Formats: sequence, C-alpha cells, structure tokens
Amino acid sequence: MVFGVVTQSPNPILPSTGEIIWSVISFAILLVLLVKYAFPPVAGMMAKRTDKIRDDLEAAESARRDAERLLEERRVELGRAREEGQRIIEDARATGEALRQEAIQEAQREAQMVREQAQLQVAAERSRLILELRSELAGMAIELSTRILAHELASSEVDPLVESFLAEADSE
Amino acid sequence: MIFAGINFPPIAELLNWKPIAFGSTAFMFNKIAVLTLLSAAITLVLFFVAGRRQQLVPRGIQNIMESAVDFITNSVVIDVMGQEGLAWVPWLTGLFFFILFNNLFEVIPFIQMPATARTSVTIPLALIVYVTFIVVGIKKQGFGRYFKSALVPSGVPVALLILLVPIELLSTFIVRPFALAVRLFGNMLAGHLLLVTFAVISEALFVRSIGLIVLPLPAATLVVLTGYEIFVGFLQAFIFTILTAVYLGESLGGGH
Repeated sequence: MVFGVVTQSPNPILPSTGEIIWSVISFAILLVLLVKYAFPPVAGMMAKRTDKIRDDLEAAESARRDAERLLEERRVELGRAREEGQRIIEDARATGEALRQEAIQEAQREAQMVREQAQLQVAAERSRLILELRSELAGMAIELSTRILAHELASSEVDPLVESFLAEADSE
Repeated sequence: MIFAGINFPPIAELLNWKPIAFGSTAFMFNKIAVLTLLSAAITLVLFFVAGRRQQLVPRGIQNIMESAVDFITNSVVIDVMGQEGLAWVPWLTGLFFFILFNNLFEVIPFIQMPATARTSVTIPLALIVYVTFIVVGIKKQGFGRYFKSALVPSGVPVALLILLVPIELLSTFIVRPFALAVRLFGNMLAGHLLLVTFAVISEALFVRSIGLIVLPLPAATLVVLTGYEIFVGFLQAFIFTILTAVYLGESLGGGH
C-alpha cells in the first residue's frame, strides 16, 4: 500500500518515484552515450568541414593575392615598356633633328663654297679679260700709232685712215 | 443538454499512468518511463546515423543534426558562455534533444502525452542542472569565491548587502531550480490539457449528430493548437537549455 501511494501519486502534480528513477536513468544513458560515442563523430565532421572551408578560403585568398601581385607586376612592366618606347621615339626624333640640322649646315657650307669658287672664277675671268683687252688695246694702239705714223707721211690721208680704223674697231 | 455527452476525464487519469512493469516497486515502469527512454533512444539513433554518414556536404538527418548542433554551439553556448563553454556543447545538446522529444510526444498520434508534463521528469532535470552548475562553480572558482561571486554583487554598498545577499541566495539557489522545473512542467501540462479539452469537445460533438453544426470550430482550434504546441515544445526546450547555459556560464566566469 505504501508503494502504491509512492509510485502512483494521487495528486497529478506531485512526482512519482518510478518516473523520477526512469527519467534520470534515461537522461544519464543519453548523456553518457552521446558524449562518449554519438556526438564526437558529428562534431568531428563539422570541425573537418570548418577546417576545409577555412583552408579553401585561405587558398582562394592567397590565389587572389598572387593574381593581384602579378597584375601589379604586369602593370609596372607595361608602364616601363611604354616609357622605354617613348624614350626611343624621343631619341629618334632628336637624332633626326640633329641630322637635319647637320645636313642643312652642310648644304649651306657647300653652297657658300660653290658661291665663293664662282666668285673667284668670275674675278679671275674678269682679270683675264681685262688683261686680254688691255693687250688687245695696246696692240691696236700700236697698230694705230703705226698707221698714223705711216700716214703722217701722207698727211692728207691721215683723217680718212683714222676714220676707217675706228670703224673697224667698233665693228669688232 | 447537447453537451451531456462530453465526458472530460479526471486530470489524474490524464497524467498518472498505470504501471506496465515493476508496479509494486520504486522502479515502477509506466508510459512516462517508456517515453523518457524513447526520447533518449531517438536522440542517440539520430546522432549515430548523422555521425555515420560523414558527408562533406550534409544531407537529410546529418544536415538536421549538424544544424541543431551548430545552433546550440553558436546561439546558446558561444553567445551565452563564450569560448570557454564549448566543452559543454555535447551536454547541452543532449539536454535540448531530451527535453524536445519529451515535449513533442504531446502531438505524436497514439502517444499524445508530453513526458515533461510530469514533475517527475522536470524536477530531476532541474536538479541535475542545479547540482551541475554549483559543482562547476565550486570546481572552477573554489568554494569561497564561487559563493561570494554568486551571493555578493560587486560594486554594491555594504549597507545594501544585508538586503541583496538574501535576495541573491533566494534567486540563485532556491528559485532557479524551482523555476526551471515549474516553467517546463507548467507549459507542457497546460498545452496537454488544452489539446485534451479540444479533442474531447470535438469527439463529443462528432458523436452527437446535432453538434456537427459547430464541429469545425473546436476541430480547427485543435489543429491550430497542435501546431502551436509544436512551437511551444521547441521554445521550452530552447529556454531550458539556454537558461542552463546562462547558469553554467556564470559558474565558469564568476557571474556578475
């Protein structure tokens, strides 16, 4: 009768000994088996997944950093190549300009030389012509003097002789 | 007289289950004992199945159990206890599922009895939590320091301590286990009685043909309440677990 009262409590709110014992046993079994055997594989799998995701993310991050570094390197190299190209063009332009200036100066120098030679030739020619003219005039003067002297002998003929000589000289 | 057919069972009949075995001993085995063992078994089976699959991309049971563990780890343990509490995740997970399945038996056809609507289940659980957090506190902080941190709030004038120490003593060491046990028991008992009430009314109306006119109302309420009780089952399991985490966290970290 005592057990009857204890195990089947008349008041529905009061606990019953049997139920307390079985609920404690159930909970104890659950905790022991769960903590020792059932939980670790699940937690292990989750930890493994977390590690894998972390590793993957780190790998992706490192790959991204590598890609960025390479891109930066390429950018720097491209900039350098562009500067190099610009420098080559500038050099070529400067060289071309220098060559042009040199050619112009050379041409001017040559022209000057040609002009000077021509002037010298003209001067020499002129001197030669003057000399030639002088010697011809001298010859003519001598011939005229000779003719006048000859004509003095016949003075009446002097004037027409002089006239004819001068007419000859004009025609030449 | 329409409702003369309603035969509401006495409350003792709804809660005090007859023995199945060992009836005359302290180990009286009844429906509640079956249910508590069953909830432990279901939890273990689910974890064994989830642990055996070990797929990198979880599916099915593995997915559900891992989500639950993840939820308890992040939303209960780390939020409340911090990193130090991670060692308690299996313990708290077990507690959560044990209470959850015992709650959900309320809406399982042919079982329809939450084991947690019995103080025989909630009082031992609350006492286990009570003893655990006191033992953890004493082990972690030492006897004197633990009780000092639990009873004497820091930064309070000495004069006020005369008032505060008894209040802290009452709230931490007397009200806590009582509140834990009664909150769970009360909620589940109330839900159980509500469902029984509407089920009895629906049945009575169904049996009495004239009552069919108003049958849909209590029957629909019964459906809605069943859904609500599923929600309450989850909520109460969560509340019990998170409060346990709070108490354990205080014991680990010195509280206040």
